[in-house]
Amino acid sequence: MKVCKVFFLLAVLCFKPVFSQVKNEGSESLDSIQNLEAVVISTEKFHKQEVLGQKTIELSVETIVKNPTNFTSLLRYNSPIVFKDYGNGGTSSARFRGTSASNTVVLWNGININSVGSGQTDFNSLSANTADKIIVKSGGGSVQYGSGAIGGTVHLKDILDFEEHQDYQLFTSYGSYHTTSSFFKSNLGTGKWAIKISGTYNKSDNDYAFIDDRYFDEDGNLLKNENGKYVNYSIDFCLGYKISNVNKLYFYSTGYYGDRLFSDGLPNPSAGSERNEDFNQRNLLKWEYKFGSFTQVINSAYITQEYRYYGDKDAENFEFGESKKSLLDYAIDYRFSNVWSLKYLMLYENTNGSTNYITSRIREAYSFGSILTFKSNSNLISSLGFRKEFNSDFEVPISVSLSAEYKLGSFIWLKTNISSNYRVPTYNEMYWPVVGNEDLIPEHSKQGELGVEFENYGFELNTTLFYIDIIDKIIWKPAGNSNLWTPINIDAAVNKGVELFVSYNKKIGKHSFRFFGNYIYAIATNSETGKQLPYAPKHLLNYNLEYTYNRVKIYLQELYQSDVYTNRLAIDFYSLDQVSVMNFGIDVTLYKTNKEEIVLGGKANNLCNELYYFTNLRPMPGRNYTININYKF
Amino acid sequence: MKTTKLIFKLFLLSIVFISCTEDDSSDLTELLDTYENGIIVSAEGSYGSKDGSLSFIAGDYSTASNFVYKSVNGAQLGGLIQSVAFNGDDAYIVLNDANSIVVVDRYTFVQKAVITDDLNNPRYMAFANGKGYVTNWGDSNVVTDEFIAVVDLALNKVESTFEISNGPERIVSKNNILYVSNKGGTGYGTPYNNIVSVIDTDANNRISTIIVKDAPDDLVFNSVGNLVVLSQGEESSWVEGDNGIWYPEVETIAAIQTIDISSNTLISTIEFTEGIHPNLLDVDGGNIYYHINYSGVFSIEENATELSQGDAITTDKLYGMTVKEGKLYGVQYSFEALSKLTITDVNSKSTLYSTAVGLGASKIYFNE
Repeated sequence: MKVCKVFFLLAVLCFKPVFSQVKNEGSESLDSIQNLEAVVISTEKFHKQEVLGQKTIELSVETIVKNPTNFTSLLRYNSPIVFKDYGNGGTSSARFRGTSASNTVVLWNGININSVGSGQTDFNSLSANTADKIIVKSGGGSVQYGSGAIGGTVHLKDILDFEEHQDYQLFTSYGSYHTTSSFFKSNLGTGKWAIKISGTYNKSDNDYAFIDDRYFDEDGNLLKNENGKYVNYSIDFCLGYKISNVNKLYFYSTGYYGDRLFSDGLPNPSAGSERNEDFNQRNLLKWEYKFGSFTQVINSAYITQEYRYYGDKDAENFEFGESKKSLLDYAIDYRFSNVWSLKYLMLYENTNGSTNYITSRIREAYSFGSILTFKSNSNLISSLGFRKEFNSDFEVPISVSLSAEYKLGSFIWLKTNISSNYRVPTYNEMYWPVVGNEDLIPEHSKQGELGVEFENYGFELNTTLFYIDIIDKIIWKPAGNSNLWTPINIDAAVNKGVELFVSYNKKIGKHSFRFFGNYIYAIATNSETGKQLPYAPKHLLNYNLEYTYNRVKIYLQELYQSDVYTNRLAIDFYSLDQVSVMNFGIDVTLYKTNKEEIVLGGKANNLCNELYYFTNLRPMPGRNYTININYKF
Repeated sequence: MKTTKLIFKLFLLSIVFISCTEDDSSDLTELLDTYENGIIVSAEGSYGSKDGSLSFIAGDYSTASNFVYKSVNGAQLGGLIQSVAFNGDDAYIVLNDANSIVVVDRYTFVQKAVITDDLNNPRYMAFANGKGYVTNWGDSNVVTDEFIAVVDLALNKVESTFEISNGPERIVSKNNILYVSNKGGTGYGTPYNNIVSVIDTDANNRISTIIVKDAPDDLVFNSVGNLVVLSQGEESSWVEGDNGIWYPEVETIAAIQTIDISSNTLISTIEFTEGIHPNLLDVDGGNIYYHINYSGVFSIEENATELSQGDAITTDKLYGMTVKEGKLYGVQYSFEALSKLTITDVNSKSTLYSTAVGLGASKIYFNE
């Protein structure tokens, strides 16, 4: 424990100078300002943003290699999203701002990949390590992204760059519990062609000790995560062809296979016998063509998802669910003038889903939308958009979004966004035998946010006040004369709070400091009872603190999450304690030229060996170690 | 007809949803020195959340304390409490999803041992010949792997197991003979059963069977020592109607039956009308009490030949029920708020006491 105190002190000491720098900035002399790596704010950044007025953070590729084990841990330490996972590597769902997991959309190269059955994405059955860009957007975006974009969206992007280049990256890590995470990535451009080929491989015995000493075996030893083994791999292939500067063709394809055992956690890990396999395949063909003042993009995608669930891992019989989704979308942008532009979009989606309980069902959806953007001068940009979906299964309300960004002075932007959004009922909710409810209607929300962004002197601040009012929320409730649950549009919730992102960079000679972190305060309450919603912590804080000297970088990561209720009663017995975890890592650059770089890294996760939970009685691992090598060439 | 009934059920459900949001959750967590002379209520918790709990209410209603196991032991039981069985000073808490039985002192709730090996989907426990016998479903979707686990009560270990017919549920014992209701229907689409298994523990666990109506569940001995069985009747092969509402295509008659245990033969059968599926039964003072969802609790005499024509003792929709010395102890089904225990005088039908107990409360037991 002493080690932890030292680290805590270190962290505090590091903070102090960081913040005092900030405070003194105004009065600093010119000399010290020149020492700062000033980041010039680019107005382009705002114009390109698909939804104006939203808080957006981007995760860099450097960030990925610090938490490579799974997507959950990457986002847990680097984004404002709250996760609920069933033990390390178990199914994991994401919540923005205290909303529900189905109010979070994951988009792969712009295509919604949430499960057809549950309406959610399992962040532990998704490989994000080879993404070239990960963008986390908080807030509503149904006008642009359709169903589910109420809490926020997570974007995974592969970047095809035609410029002549060859970049390769090979990363591999190995650590406690025989955990390995590796990926390979190659991005090439020939002028005419752009190619990306990449692959990931993750495997772990995941048999960590449950460090909750209130539970032990008959010999008095700690229990272990007995049924938690996993292996998964994926391969991506992307190809771009430039017919001309204004006429480009892209093809993206990815395949994923995951095989996991589901642990049972405490008090009797030997009760765990479940196994789950995932097979996911995604293909996207995209054509981008510009003519005159028009830009048109056609996306055609085909996505398949399948799971096989084995109640008994040794048995041959399994339950399954599969879905095939075809999608065609067309968007055209027209610039009337330098001031006005109009985007029109159309989308057709055909989903065919089934499980061993649900016979094959086809759902069709047509969406039409339009976004009018007004840019009066370089200081103000605003837009008005709407989207209407026609769904074969139910009536979908119209989504509207009004947003504006205004530049105040040289470094400050004010942002606002008001929108109405929706989430359509999922297959499981509608068609599950006996309990499925075909009378469900989409959940819908009215929400708004008001934010400030400041960026200068190596300092970036991005903060937003938000308010979300969700009605007709779909909740599974007990029904009938047994422990049988059925979904119904009964709930209403109000989520309000503040979200904050701060980053700071400073370089003095060979020393450089970097800090970035997220803080969210979210009051998410049931409108009727006024009680805080389950799994919605009031406070979430995470940060990364880095210090680099020459070729050596040390860094500290911390995650703090306040206590959460595990059900709607909102009383102490049904709650999880606050979480506070720290990771510490060292990276040493062994070799570096303009083109090549070899970095050797080591990391201690959960440095203080804290016991922490994200679901009842499924503890996360205690202190554990990894070493990794990251070779770019 | 069936569809109308289902619509009606759903309508009633919606009322339940709207009305059950009342908050009577003063989450009582007082720590007591001893838990003698009172009522123990076990609560399942919510499915998959491992948050089953125990409540204790003093016999004179002067104190009520929730989550007593955690208060006493500093840790959660950590599973869905299916049932509790008592033997001497010990209580055996059966955790269905955790494949465990936690053994505690019934008067202090201090943990003594945990049985984890060789249990699979355990349900209920009874004692005979100095041993414990636990019904186990095995894999809910497999109908051929059900078994009885025999527990060595000195070592708190499963010493052996033996096979039993599909869906073993309740288990009771008398004179070293065990009676098991084989209900079946453990998994979606799995068949129902219609037998009571009789296990002679003095004869190497030899099993004989008695055919009863479909889906037998509650088993209790009446005032003359005969076994009363509640068969709930089958509801299966669910199909979706044109209106999107599911209804059971196969539905069979429910019944209250009495078995003469000296000859293991049925001596009386009282059938319910089609479409009525009672789910709880108990006996007290020469009367049989049974509960039907959306109707309430009714009583008949032990030797009655037909169902009650009278008014309900209570119209509460109960998830668990016990009748003792003229008092009806009922727990109301709620997974939204703390459950409610209500004690009703069976004669005056007046409420004597009510209090909040753990989420998903399902069983009521007594400490003398």
